[in-house]
Amino acid sequence: MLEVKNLKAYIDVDAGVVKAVDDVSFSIKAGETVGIVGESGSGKSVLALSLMQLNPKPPVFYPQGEILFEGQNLLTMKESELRKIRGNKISMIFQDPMSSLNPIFRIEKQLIEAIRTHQDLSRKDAERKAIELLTDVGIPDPERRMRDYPHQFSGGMRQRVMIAIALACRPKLLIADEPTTALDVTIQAQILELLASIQKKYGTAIIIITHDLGVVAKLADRVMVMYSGRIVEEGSTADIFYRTSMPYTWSLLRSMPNIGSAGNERLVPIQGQPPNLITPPKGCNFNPRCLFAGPECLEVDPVLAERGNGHLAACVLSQREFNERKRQLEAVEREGVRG
Amino acid sequence: MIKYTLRRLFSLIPVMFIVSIIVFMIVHLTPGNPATLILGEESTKESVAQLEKQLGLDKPLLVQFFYWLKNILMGDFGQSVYSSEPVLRIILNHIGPTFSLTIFALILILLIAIPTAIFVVWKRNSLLDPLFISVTLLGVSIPEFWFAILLVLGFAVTFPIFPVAGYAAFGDGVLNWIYHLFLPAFVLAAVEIGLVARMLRDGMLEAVNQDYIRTARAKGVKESIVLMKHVFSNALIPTTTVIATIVAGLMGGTVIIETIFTIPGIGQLLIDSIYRRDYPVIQGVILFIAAIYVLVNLFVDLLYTFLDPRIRYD
Repeated sequence: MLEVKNLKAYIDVDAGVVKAVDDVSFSIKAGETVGIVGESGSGKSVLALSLMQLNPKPPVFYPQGEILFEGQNLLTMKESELRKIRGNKISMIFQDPMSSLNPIFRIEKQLIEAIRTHQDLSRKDAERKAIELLTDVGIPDPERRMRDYPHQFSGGMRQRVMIAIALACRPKLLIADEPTTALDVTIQAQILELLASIQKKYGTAIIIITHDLGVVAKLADRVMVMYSGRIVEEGSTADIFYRTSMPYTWSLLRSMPNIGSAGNERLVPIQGQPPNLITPPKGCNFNPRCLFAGPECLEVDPVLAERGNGHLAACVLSQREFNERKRQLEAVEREGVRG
Repeated sequence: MIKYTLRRLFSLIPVMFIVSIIVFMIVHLTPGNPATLILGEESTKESVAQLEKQLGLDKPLLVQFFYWLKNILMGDFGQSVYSSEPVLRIILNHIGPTFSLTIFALILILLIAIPTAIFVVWKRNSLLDPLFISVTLLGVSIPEFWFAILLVLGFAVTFPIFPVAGYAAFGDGVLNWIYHLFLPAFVLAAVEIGLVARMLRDGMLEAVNQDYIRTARAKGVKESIVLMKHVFSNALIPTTTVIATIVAGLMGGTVIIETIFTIPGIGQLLIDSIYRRDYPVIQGVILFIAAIYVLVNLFVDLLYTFLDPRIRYD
């Protein structure tokens, strides 16, 4: 349904050109849930906005690539054509529900706008539809709440309203950019459950963008790990969590708390900063922070290579070499803890 | 809301009381005896004494003040020393032209500033924006009197499209009213258009990058509607304050323009009264202008609750 081919999205800033998305390819099948994981500044939000063609142009430009949605290339599409897709076939929810709703319009108005932009409905029918949508996303007493303004809702409720707006036209693809980051933990779980139930009920494909591997583990069928504007590992959720194939993903997993574990496991932060995307490091972008980096990594810029069925990773180490190094390092660290 | 309005109205009392003290003191702070000032140096002792009695100047200051205040509260602003007419009636006679001029100028300001600002924000990445900033700066910097004379020269003398001066009441025909007021209103508007358009542009440029604007775009809403509906309404809130100040300023009489175009408004009344040392009228006009300012500000505060639902006073 959605196919991204060799997409580059660069940002023109005073200091130079930021390669925010650098030669990314992937595809999404109808009804699938795909997670895109990465640190802040890995280019995941720019990628998400590219899919909606909502990056401000300038400074963002697309020197290369195709975004094929149902066979049509969004990059070459006219603005008026794009508008027919936005909010209709592809919709998006954003990180901060506190600021994503217009503060001076009633929820009703903002929902009805989403409905009537793409559907030829009377005000009455649109209003009925709006109530349905709000009920769908679990807002109690929707007839009354509809007349309220955004500031009269809590963060979680606002994100539900955002989801209702995104679902207004039964999109085929829903892009959720850090949908739970700004919410507290109990609310996070509720929103994730809501997204899962929508996925089940309507068969909407969901791209969930997050820095939180827990979110991905809960929702996604497939995961793409992004680092410095590129996809560095891609595979089923099980591949990523249990058959990790490259150092960055592994470091990311080690930096995340795990409720299932005994509780004496140490969290290991990833040292250093994400690379400067104006002048990326020579060789592999991750080499300055990589615990396994060898002389080869300063020279070779690895590309995604097959590691299993549908499992791709970008690393000069083979799976066997990687597993070996990992085992060695973990053994040394265990010694260190004991000693 | 009603409670808030009442409370705000109530809080006007101390403000107006302080204003009235200042206005009252005008007469007594100007050097010399007011009665002599009014009547001139060559007046006789008897006539001065008589005027002092008429104005109540022979009583202690505090008594004079409360006596004056009591009369004002009962709607008696005193009498003009010059024409012996009641001050209130004189002011009411001069409100019409000033009010007309204000409304006309305000319509021109909004009619030009709003579409210009929206257009500039729409083309925000082009060279139009720096051009717009220069033009508005020029507009704000133009001296009113110079621009007025220039326009009169151009559109009343060289090309006699509009009259050189004069005023026609609204009741004498709308076209005639527009015909007489166009030039003065345009001069008044010209100076403020730049200010309002600039405020709107700044507000819109700030709003245009907000998350909720991205949401509107993500819905597939047309860019023109995004700008006019979502961006504009959010930018209107800070701009309203500026518009209110302008309206209050215009309602308070536009001394220069009314003088140049001989429009018998509040501004001209004030100037004439100062020349005539007509203290009761001066006091009345200043009180009136102060009241307009205070009321316009109150009105705007109440208007905010409609423009921005987050503002609730109760």
